[in-house]
Amino acid sequence: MNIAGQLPYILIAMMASLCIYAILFKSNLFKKMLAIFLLTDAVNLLYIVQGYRSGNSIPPIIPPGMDPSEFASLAVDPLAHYFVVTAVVIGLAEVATLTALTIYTYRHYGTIETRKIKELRG
Amino acid sequence: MNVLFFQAPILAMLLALMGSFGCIIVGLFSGRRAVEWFTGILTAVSLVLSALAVVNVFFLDEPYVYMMGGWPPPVGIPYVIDRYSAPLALVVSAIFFATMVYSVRYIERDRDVKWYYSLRFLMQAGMYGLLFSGDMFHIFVMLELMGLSAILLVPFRKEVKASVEAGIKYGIYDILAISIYYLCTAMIFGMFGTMTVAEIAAKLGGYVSPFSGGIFANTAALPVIIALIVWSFTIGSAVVPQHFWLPDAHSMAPSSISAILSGLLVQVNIAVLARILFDGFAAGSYPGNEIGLHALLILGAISSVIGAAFMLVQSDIKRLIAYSTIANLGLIAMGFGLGTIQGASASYLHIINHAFVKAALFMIAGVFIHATGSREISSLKGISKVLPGTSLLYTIGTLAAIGFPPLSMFWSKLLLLFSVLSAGGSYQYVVVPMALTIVLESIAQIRLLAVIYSGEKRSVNCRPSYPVIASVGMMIGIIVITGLMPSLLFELGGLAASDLLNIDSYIDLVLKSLNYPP
Repeated sequence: MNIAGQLPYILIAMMASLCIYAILFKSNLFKKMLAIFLLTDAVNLLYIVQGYRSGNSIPPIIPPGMDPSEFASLAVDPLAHYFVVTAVVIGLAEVATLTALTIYTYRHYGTIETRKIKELRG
Repeated sequence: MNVLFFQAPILAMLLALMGSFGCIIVGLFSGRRAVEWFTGILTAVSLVLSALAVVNVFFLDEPYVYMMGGWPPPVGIPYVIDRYSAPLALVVSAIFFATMVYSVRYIERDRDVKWYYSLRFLMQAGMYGLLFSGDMFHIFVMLELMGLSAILLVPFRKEVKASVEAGIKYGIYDILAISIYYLCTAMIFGMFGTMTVAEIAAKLGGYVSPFSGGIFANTAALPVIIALIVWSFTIGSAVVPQHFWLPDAHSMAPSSISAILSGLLVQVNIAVLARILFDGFAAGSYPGNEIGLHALLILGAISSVIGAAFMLVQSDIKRLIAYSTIANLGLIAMGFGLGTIQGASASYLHIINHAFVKAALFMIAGVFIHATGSREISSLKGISKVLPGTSLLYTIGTLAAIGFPPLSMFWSKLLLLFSVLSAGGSYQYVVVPMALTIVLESIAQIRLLAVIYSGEKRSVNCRPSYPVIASVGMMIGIIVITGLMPSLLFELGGLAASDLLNIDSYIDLVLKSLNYPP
């Protein structure tokens, strides 16, 4: 088994599971937020790794005069890039939403430790 | 084919998207009345358009696929307008219209209403997109659209401490759910090389796509993906053990938003999960894929009993209704988890009936909270003496919620019980938690009714205005009328479930249809 080829996937799996752990069990809201954004980035990496073609690959922009079928056999997958760009833009909306809510939480409670915020019972 | 009928569902979604930006522009240049008229007209038009789509799909034409931008499905994004998605979109439009009429007076003391209506429109567009979409990545985008606007609407009254806390709690867990779903799309992309739901099912059946070939990875890993998808959507639809955000978010949001969250958002999540499990992963017909259905069945059984049991100890009226949502979502998950056509049709009807009932209950709870100035159930004593009409509407809603015979939810609960009993094997023991849920929920709701009808005559802060009563009356009217026509309901459920469970016809519809009008 080619360990070097599996390395990116192992790293992504570790990163994603650490992030899910942090979201569920860290009590600081800012750390939860960072973990959410890192989880999105881990998935972005997964997309890029899956769309990548090692060896003599070329970017997904067709050079002038190249045969389309030859181009398709060499280029990396542009679909993965499209997904990542869309997700990055959506991630910006997530950052804005959660930051605004965290700021309001801090104004009301004077803390962003979820253990100390106990107005509601859950 | 009539072009207006063909385009109607897409136009409804585009109107909602444009209305979101239009609200802010109108609000910048003129007052709140203009925003309200603008929102009202657009919501009414989208209600008419969704009704046209239902008429088209059921009476004039067959289910069809709308190709966004004219690109055929494996390449572009297909919008599947069939007998499963079109009635749900009509329910979405109807509840958004009713809560729009309700909001005019309900939030008249709040400032910045243009943002409120704008976010509502975004949520509506996200729901249409989720219900119609046949593309995994498009579902992710629409989940974000619906989820983020809901997260921002929960703490709309941002000066209230507890509503901000509910908002951040809901925000963290909903975005966690959406991120997990995003992880699933990446894994599906690696395994199948496609995002079209129908093509995933076709590839599991041995189809080789001209664009992306066959399956790239060992399908032994498929149960992992399915489990992650079930996890992400059960956070979104608040199935135990991921239910803890729901009572806070649904009770702290403004009542007009609680009606939408509780009536639509959680159920749109579970409807999309059913679409992905049954049509995408061919649950039940491909070995290894029934894990998603088993998870739904077990989690649903636990969820319904826990939700109903927690209803008994609530002292806050909105929290009681919110826990009732958890119990009913458990029932819906159990119906889908059976994997039979009876179970799916019963769950489908329960989604529709529960949407109207829960929207009506939250809206009347908002009226009671305004009138008494308190959310405690004990402070509702004697309210039926001062507000007899509203209390009567609430009584009808509650009777529908506990499944009193002539009202709509009786039929869907009956169908759920029948479907469990007819599933055979060890499935029929699921009837025990189901019956227990129904009994416990009835006890809790009737205790609330008893409080409303007890006590002496009391004073109230304000009386409900005409638009509020009209919007609640519209919901209650739908509950009563649909309850009087059970055969129509059963036929609707059967057609929707057959469209959902018939994977071959779904694949044919999406991958081979070229019925774009010239």
